[in-house]
Amino acid sequence: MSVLSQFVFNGIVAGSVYALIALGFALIFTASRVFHFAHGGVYTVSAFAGYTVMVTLGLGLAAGFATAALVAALMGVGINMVLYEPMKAGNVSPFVAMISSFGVLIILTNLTAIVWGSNPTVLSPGGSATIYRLGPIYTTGPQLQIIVFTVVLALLLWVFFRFVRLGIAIRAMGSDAELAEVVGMPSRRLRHISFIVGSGLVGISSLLIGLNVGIIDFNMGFDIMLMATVAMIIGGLGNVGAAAAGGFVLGVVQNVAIWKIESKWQLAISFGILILMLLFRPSGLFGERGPAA
Amino acid sequence: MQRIGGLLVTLLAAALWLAPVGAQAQMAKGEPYRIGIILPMTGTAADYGADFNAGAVLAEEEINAAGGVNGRPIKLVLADSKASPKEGVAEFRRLVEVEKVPAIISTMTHIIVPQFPISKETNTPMITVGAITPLIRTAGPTVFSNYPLADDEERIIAEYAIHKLGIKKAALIYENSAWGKQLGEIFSAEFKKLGGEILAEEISEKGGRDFRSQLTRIRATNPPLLVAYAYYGELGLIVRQSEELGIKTRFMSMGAPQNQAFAEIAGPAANGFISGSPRWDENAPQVKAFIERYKKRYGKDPDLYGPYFYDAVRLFAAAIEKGGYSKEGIQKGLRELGNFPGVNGTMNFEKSNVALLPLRFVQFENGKWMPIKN
Repeated sequence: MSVLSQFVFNGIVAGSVYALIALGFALIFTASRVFHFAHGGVYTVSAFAGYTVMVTLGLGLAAGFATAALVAALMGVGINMVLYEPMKAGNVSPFVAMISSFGVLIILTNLTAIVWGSNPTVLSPGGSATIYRLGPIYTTGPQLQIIVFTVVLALLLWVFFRFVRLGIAIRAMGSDAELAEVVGMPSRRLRHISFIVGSGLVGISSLLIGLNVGIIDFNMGFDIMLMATVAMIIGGLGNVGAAAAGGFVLGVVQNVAIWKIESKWQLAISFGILILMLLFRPSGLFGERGPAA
Repeated sequence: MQRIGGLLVTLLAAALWLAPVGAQAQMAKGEPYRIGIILPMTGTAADYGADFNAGAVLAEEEINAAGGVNGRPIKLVLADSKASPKEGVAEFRRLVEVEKVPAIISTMTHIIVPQFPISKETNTPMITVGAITPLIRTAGPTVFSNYPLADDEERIIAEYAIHKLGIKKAALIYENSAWGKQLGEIFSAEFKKLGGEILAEEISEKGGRDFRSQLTRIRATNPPLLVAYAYYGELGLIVRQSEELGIKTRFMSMGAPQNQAFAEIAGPAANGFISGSPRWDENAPQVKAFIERYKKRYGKDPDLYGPYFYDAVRLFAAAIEKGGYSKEGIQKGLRELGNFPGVNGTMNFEKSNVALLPLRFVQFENGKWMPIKN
């Protein structure tokens, strides 16, 4: 029993990480309908930018987070301006945008390796995290921070898209950009705002996650993007709450399955779920009904 | 007459005795003895290639400055494997058929394994450096290694756990790759052979960052020893996450964690970690002298493998001197060298094509690897 509760908790921690990435991604997807793979690259670069300010220059935690958020926000909106907006204006198929976005992910990944090297970089040395014991469950300070941040963020975004005018406007634009423009919505600006907020959040997440793991490396965005994409497909596209829920479901199932199945099947389990979802419920567990956009 | 003859004999003997000393004082002359060396000079392992080459070139320079082999210099013919098996095979063929070298030094498991058949077919002796696959042992009479293989290394680690630590139960976690699986399987087999019991066997993905579910499984078995085979980054995280999950155990591995980044990633949780690896004795005079010469030549400390390339070149030079400059002669020479004093330890190829160097065990204490006193 004590083992099962630890597995569930491990799953919640892993799920929070997936959900954090999926949230920003879903926010951007809702607004622009772009499958923004480059999000993973923004995540990587912002983590290293935060590392440079926090560790290399020794300017402290707050400056690190601020830098990571700022760098991420600028990169996100920059990618939108240079890449996606011209494609939208030129009526290029979303599929092309997706492939270009994947290209940007690869470029940012390799750029990070060139600038910061390809070895793991230590963000927080071992032994620096406080360990807590809640009955049979062991956890750490950074893990609790991630869980709380994810839950609060998911709730805020949900409220934003349900009840706040700007949020509703972004959703409306996402479902029909042309019509939104016809009724006089500043769709370009709304998309820029979404990219700034979604990317800024992934900048903060990158350091939170980095502090929990302890190390960051140039490949981190690539690996996490894979899992975040699976989480989003499980949850359902085009819906922020669903993306977060998908992250938690994936994390918990992935970890609890290991309770009785050997750990070498963990990756196979994740992608097995993905295939089952695509076959039987392509719109996701909590997604909008009908064909995915 | 008798006395003059005696004097002549004495003089002649003196001249003969002096002759090699005189020859040694001058540089080696004449057509060089050529030795092929295939290293990853470009591509993903280019950093390694430069260090490997530094070790080999130092040996070449020292041998030639000391008069060469039989008065003739040796010359390394460098080829680039680009860390690719295809290039490794092509370069091996080119060195043997175009460059006509009778001996080759090569490295990296995925490069050397496809070279074995060409070595056999062309009867060209090769020394592999740093690769640990047990396939080297059965690769045939032309393949030699001056680096201990996994079957020796993991057997000695298992013996250390059972006999020195007196631990009979262990959990095992290893990287999900050919390399990690091989080490894990050999350790498991040897540990069981000695009466040990494997409580749990888990894998870690290379590049993985969250090993909590595997470690939670391991925690349930409450192991007194956790043997882990992974790259230092993942290994550091395994140790760190074990502590975060409340696992209290002793860790053990091969040489992978002996690295500064590991110490930072794992932190104090790694205290007591025992690492066994083929490592030279820093206090031995020949090692101190080697490090001095290496620093003087390159302005930095030698890496882990460079000294083995240094020894590989010297082994071939000694084999040429012993058996002659031909493919057959060099093979015969290597086998008949007896105990060859390498900088990494004494090597002997009489009974086996793999030199059995002793393993040295070190223990992690507050950020440093300390020798274990028996």
